[in-house]
Amino acid sequence: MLPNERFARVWLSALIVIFGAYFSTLALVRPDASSIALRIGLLAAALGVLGLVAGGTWLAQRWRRRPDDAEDERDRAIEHKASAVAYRVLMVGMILVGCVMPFDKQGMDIVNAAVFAIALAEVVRHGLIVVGYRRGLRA
Amino acid sequence: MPEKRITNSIRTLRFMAGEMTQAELGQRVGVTRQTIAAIEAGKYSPSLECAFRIADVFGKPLDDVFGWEPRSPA
Repeated sequence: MLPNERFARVWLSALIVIFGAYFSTLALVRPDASSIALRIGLLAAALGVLGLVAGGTWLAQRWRRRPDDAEDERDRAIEHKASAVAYRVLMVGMILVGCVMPFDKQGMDIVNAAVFAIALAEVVRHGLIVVGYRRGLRA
Repeated sequence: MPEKRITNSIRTLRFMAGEMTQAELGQRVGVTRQTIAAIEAGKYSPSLECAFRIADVFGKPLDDVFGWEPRSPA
């Protein structure tokens, strides 16, 4: 398995687990508007764990990289296609968060919607990278 | 417009070149072994430059290595 594919699999799993746990907790606990510290604490915990995963995978990649692991045109093509689709997902998310939600939501609801859009775009990107390596990429 | 796909005879050409490995071909072309495997399996269509490099390794014209044929019905 190429390093880029391994990296995408780890990130995909981490994003699903961490943000799945984060949004599930929010849905179950349903913190009210006054418990801003709890909401920020949960978000900080999720982002902290994600930061640890990012650091860990970066170190592991540096540690395990072999001379023949260099990126080639297929890696770049897969990355490009995945990023292009993820960008559109992110744009739709940001339009909803920035142009629609402010009319009837505020505060942490908007923050969480933005976090959800970013997480979804990243899940789409890493998911498409994994699919690109497994099932192939055609023009 | 009828659906077409890129075909290739890299596997045969590697065999005729003394059972050249995918890794060796990849090294000579400047891509990874996995990319050669993906091209052979029809999972990745290489860039024009990469296609010319592959043909150059075997000393063949491009259309001896790659083809453009109608998709066979599934």
